[in-house]
Amino acid sequence: MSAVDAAAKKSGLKIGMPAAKAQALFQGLMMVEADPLADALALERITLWALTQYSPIVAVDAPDGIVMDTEGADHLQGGEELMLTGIANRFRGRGLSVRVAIADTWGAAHACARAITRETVIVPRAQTVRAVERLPIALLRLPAKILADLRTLGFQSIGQLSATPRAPIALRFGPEVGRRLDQMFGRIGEPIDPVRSPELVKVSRAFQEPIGAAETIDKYVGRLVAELCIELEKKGLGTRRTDLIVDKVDNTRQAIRAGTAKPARDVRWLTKLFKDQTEKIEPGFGIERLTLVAVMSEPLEESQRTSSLVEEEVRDFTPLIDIFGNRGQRVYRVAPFASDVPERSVRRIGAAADDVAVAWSPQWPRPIWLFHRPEQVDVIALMPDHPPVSFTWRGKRRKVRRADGPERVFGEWWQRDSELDAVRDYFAVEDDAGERFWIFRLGDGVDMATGSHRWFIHGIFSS
Amino acid sequence: MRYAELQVTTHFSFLRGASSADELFAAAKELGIEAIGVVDRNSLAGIVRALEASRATGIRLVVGCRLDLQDGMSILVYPTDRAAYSRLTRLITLGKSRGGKNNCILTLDDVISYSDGLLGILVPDVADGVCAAQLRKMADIFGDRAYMALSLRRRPNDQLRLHDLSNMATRHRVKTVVTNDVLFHEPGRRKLQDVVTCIRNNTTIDEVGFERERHADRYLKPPQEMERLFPRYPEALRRTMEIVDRCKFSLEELTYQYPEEAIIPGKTPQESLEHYVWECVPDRYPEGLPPEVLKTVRHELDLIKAMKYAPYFLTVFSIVRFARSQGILCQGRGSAANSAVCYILGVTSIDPSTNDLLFERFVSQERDEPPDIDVDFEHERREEVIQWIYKTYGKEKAALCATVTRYRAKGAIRDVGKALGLPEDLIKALSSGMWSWSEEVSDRNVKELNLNPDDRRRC
Repeated sequence: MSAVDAAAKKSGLKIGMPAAKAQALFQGLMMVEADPLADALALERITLWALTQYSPIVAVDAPDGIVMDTEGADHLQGGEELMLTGIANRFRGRGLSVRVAIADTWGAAHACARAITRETVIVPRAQTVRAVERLPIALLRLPAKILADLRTLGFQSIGQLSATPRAPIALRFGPEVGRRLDQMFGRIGEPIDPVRSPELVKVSRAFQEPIGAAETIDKYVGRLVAELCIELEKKGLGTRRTDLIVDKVDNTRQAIRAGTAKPARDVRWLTKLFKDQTEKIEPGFGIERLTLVAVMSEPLEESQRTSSLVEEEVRDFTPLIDIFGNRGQRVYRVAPFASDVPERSVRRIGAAADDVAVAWSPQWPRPIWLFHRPEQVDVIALMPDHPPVSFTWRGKRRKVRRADGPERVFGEWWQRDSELDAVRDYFAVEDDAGERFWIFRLGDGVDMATGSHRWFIHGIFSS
Repeated sequence: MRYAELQVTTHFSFLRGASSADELFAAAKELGIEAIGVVDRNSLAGIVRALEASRATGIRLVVGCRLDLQDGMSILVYPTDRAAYSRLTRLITLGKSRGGKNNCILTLDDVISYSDGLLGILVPDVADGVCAAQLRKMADIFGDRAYMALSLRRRPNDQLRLHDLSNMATRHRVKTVVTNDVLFHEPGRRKLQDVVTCIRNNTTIDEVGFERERHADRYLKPPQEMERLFPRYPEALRRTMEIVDRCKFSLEELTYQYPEEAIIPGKTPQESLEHYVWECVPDRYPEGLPPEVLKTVRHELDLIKAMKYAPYFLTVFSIVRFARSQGILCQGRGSAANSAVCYILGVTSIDPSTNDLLFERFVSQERDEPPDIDVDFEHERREEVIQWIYKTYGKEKAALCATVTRYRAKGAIRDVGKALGLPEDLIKALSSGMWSWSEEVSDRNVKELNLNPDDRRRC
């Protein structure tokens, strides 16, 4: 057995168990022939995809993982937490289960991702020791022989192992155990050798003398951008994500990623995006090599400007959007969505996305401010469908002078079981002071199966 | 409080209505609604089922139709008498012949020329300029037979909308009448209605968006509830019964009208038929008519005379005579083979006396419906017969019979599955099991396919 799913694990099957034994344990077991070669190929494909999506430095963590250096790239996804949930959601959307962890080192992230039961975890900076000390030594990436011997000696957790004097262990098992522990705790570096797809457009420059001054870096980045744009033009492409990879003399590597909302090939635009970020580069003992890679590119055709007597100037906001986006802010637009349920009637779309065709009915006014969550209110109203006579919201009682309703909004039965019969009756009410509110009652006022008859306020109209 | 529901859509408004006439009439009886006006879209196809349901429940059926015109105007029309009914059927035939399959192209000008004796109810949207223009046209065309529907939508500004509409109608001297725009008989059918809307728009429930019916509560409501919902318009509520009383037409008035043909001058159809029978006897019985056959023929002719079916036999006879004269093979089949008259006239080729078949299985006094004589024609030359029929009776008066699309279980499962976005193989698994389970998909069978019958996408 080389892999088992969650249900199989529950019935006591383990990886490494002989197939015959597994079948004896569980009748009617469904078995699929393992195909390590195809698995490896698929993993590589996903790795290359992750390269275009998440980070400039991505590698296969064989046999079942991917490791990424997301330092300086997570802001394009809206921060670490959003990036992690985003990754989890995208895999789940494809029917793949995934565990994602962020930690200070490759070793720690590797161990955490394989130890957690939920989908995502973020180990805060400098908390690696606390996070991993209770994890089993199996997660240390050690050869099976060493692991078995360590267990024989009574070692169970990584904490125990790291608290043991190093010399006797090194004498018994060689330097491997110490190296893995040091890598996990970040005492020695573990560079990630990134995967590269041959089709990527890439330009690089090696320096005889290491460079370090900010102006020098800027100057060479500018030249590289110009070269990259020429290469892109030859292929008729524009770049959506561009990585600047900085190789330093002490064999460390730093990467900066810049994203654009539309495919771009404009030297000034791209240079500006990188110059905003070059201050993040820490030259250390000097930079040996600068590489610029267009990791995600899309076709971009030249289009002729229309010439007419009256020049119609179309202002292109995408450079501005890119500047905000590369600073780490989330840039999006809010667009109407074809749903009668107020919470679902808007959604976020990409900043540079095309306009949506859906529009709200102008005959059916909506409040200017829709609350994030409806707040419960106490209401005096006649059943089954009369508007409230008065309501108490946040301790203040308001008499209703005018009202319109009910507007009957049905649950979207295809979304959730709880919405099968759900109904909300919305009322627009105006109080004595002329302030207008959007209030609803759960249920249609007759059938209790449609809702509990409790009242909520959901928004405020402009007075 | 007496109330009639005048805007009811059955499932013969294909992929719009979600309840059958039986369900609607049964529900109406339960709720105390006195009459139901069936208005399917550009079609009268649903009224035969509605008539049966009306007979079964005793709820009066008001025959009508919803005309969706090319300029976006929708009118409900109700014929007041038989003449108006035939004008309405002609109007729909005109629209269908222009529109082709599943389409009906009509304009207001067409309605004007066929509007005599029809009551018209305008289905308005909001009280705007368009609505004013429509009301003016309604008043022009229908005069005192013009009405405008007031229906609740359960959407913002509903009461204000009704108020404006009512005032506008009064200004244009058009009377208002309360309707409920019914699409299904009970609230639970809303989901099925959503699904059929998806099928009509060729989309899935997740994508359908605002194409769904967005006006709420499209089920039958009892008269008291309607009175409570429309307290400001008591006269519009009363007019529902007024319209029912004005529409005197009933489907029961319709009888068969046979073409007059192959009639020998100076003789009635019955005498002509008898004439042809005796004329044809030597062809079939060269040695003379055996006495028992003579007895049968006499008996059949008496029955045909009593039921007044002679013109129908003559029509079939003349078509067969034409086919024979052209050397086109033809053969009567089915229950007509029980008839000695058909045998003698050459419509069928089996001597009923040799097989001792019973004529009453073909025509009988107890079963008061005309016989049907199936005749097969050689398929390569069938077109010639069809063209002859068109030529003889006129293009306007001859028609090929068509059926109105309805769902069978298998196709329904396939389309509903698609609308709910189920994967193709799952739909196949569900629908291929249909033969053995006939009407109902039982939970047990669903479980056999390893599916969860409680899943909401499969109710």
